Amino acid sequence: MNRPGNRAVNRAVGRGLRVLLAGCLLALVPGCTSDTPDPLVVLGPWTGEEGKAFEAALNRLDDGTGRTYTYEGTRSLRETLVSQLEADAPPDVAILNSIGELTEYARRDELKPLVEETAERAYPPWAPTLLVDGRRRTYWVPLKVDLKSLVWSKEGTSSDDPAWCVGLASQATSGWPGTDWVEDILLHQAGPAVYEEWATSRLSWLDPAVERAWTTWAELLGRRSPKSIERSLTTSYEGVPGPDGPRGLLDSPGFDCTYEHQSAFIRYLYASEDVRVEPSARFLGGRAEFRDAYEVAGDMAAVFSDDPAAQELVERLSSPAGRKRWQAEADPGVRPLFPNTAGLPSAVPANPVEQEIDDLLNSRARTLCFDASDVMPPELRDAFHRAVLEFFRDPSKRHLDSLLRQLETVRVQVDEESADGRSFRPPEVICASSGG
Amino acid sequence: MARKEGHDLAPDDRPYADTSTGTTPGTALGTGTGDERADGPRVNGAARPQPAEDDAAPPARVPRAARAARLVVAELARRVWLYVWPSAAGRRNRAYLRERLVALPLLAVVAFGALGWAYSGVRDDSAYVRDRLAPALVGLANAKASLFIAQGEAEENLAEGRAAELSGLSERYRTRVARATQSLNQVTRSGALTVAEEQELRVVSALVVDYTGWIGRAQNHVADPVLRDAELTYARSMLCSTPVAVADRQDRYPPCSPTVGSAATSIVDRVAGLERQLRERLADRAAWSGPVLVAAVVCGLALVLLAAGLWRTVSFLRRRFRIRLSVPLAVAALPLLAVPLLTTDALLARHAQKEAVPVADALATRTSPRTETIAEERPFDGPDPRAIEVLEARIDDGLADGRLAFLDGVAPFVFPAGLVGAVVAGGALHAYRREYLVVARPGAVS
Repeated sequence: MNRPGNRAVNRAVGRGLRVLLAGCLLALVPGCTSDTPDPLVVLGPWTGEEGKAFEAALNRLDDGTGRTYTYEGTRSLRETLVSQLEADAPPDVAILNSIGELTEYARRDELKPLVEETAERAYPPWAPTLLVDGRRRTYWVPLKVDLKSLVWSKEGTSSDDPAWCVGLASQATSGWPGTDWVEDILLHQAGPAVYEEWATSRLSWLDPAVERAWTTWAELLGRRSPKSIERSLTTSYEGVPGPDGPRGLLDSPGFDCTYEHQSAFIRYLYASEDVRVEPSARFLGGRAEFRDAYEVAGDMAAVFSDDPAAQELVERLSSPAGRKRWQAEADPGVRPLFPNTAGLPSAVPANPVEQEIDDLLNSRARTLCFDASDVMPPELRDAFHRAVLEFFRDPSKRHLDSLLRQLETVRVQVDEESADGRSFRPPEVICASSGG
Repeated sequence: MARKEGHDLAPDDRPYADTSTGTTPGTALGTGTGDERADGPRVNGAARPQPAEDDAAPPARVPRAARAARLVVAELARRVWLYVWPSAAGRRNRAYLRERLVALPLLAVVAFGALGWAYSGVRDDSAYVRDRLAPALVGLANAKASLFIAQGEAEENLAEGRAAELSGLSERYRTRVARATQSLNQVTRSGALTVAEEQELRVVSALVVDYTGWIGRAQNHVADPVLRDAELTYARSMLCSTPVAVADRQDRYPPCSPTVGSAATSIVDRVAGLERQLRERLADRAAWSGPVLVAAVVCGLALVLLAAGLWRTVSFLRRRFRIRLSVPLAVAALPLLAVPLLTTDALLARHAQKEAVPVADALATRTSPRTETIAEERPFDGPDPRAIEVLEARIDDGLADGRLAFLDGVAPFVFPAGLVGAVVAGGALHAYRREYLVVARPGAVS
């Protein structure tokens, strides 16, 4: 005979079994799984250690948002982006170092204007304002910046007669280290106003100031043997590869040189060495009044998709918290430099080199001008890269004249092709006083 | 209906014929109401747990929670056993039919649900490997080999100096670049890549465009060996991260080991990375996964119990209800006939997938531009087992043969067939039971 307690247990078990059965049947119903959203695609220019640090910071950003991110780094940014846009599959966020390219995408209406909170971080000269339909629009903000106009040498090296290290190879963008030379010389010889006109395609390549910059570069490099020319053309800007990666041009076998003209980013190659960094102005034959002008570069984030999470990502990446996270993830050698650090807690510099760069960028520089080749339209920039390679090979006056004429032809053609109506005005101000 | 013509209900034949006029769920399942004279556990106590006796006099020391848990577990075990392997001996017809009414459809749903899910999984894996992964791996191998051949051609053509100004780059260079581009496009369209991998492939395609740009520049500077060689170096650096060793300079196709990690930026590095990911996915798909194994075990048990349950129910109906053959139950058993075929097909498919793994590895690691050039130059010399075309045929044939083709498209119907069987069995048993209750009502049978 069953007691009432047992009956209750039996009833409970019966109910439990029914629930279990219902659960089994529900589990068999297809389509009960929830779809997770695709990861947000971020395309950027950083590879190697820089790419690793950024990816680590990016992966830490997914907390709490429910979104994941996938980062693709390449130096063939333009071709990648063009192919993605052609396939109607652009990345959600692209980080580009070329204002010229970004302007082109904005003109083609591929970019989405940034939300107000992010647009406030459009620090000059990295994010000049564009006029679209009579309205000022902000399409990109700098995430990370770089200081150019620097010269590197081993401690104790005499500066009386510098022997310059040059490595021009860089996969798709081979030639850019030479364009940096020409731009830096022009900035210090002709000043920010002429530099700005030239960079924004309002000054002819046949202008004497431009020609003088090229010839100054050739003079600084001095006479070079065919072997040396071949070596510089075929060696990467990172120097000859060693067993543990690139060695840097100052340490590369076969390079009998003492000075290197290179941006601040190159410090990752000399992190553990006794190197000195100083402004390039005194080497370039420029005028004293332009000594405190510096060329800068930057990696700017722009949004290509309508997904609000893309806007949110750019906001988070450019925020003080995003910067802090990125800095924490990066090794000292690849620690990013940020624009407009006024009022923000600064990271303790890892070494005197980093301290010097930080001082120059945030305190001593009076004028910051954006890298001219990165302001030019992509076709003109690419032609500039190639012209540098050809000029390095043959720096004769006749050859230079021919190259400048070709570049001028490209400038005029590009100008005509992209003749903007009143509805779109590309940036014209790419120099700014330090700190905005 | 066989039931109408082949039997007459005989309640008196059964030792525990229920003569009550109505029933409640509790009484039928023997939960211990007063009129349960032949409750299962008491009649056939040896075969079943007897919770009521076990906890008849619990020691006072045993905590209530433990006692309750034991009760629940014992009752649960008893009920499950009652459902999956009931004994007709000593059972009332009403109770037996009711238990079968629940158990058989449930077993059919579980068995065919698990079978359908596992079989679809294996078939989907097979289709995914055959239609997506394999073509993607072939495309990547083709692209890689074609670009190396193109690089070798370009270097050889341009080394001839001014002669190349007139002749330009060879037909083979142009064909191979076109084939590489086409192969990469096919990989993009294969559907085998994740969002991240697709982006990586777009970068590769972009690198190929830049690569050909530098080759074109080198062609323009064919009369200037310094610029020409520099531009060939830029092109090669986009193809392969490791520079050509001095010892390999004379080699038309110098070795190129892919770099991994953050320094992997060239075409070969990226293609090798994609190949690695696709091969891992292939190996993953070809292996028996935990959930599939669990589903196979659940399905196997449920199918055995279902088959035995149907057999025993048919026997029961024959013995007690004098139904020679219950046609609805026979129909409900029909899907069981497909089980051996589906099992054979699944095993064949899994075997073919496993066989595809080493071929995919060979496609990624054993192919070479030299083999491809020889295969192209001497088409009648007999196929080299490492040629991409041969490996492609091997993987395609293996996967095509690894299935019973007439079962294509059957997978989505396995579960519905089980469901239909469950409904037919449930409907038939419900009808038998209802009719029995009507006949067994006092006064219904004279």
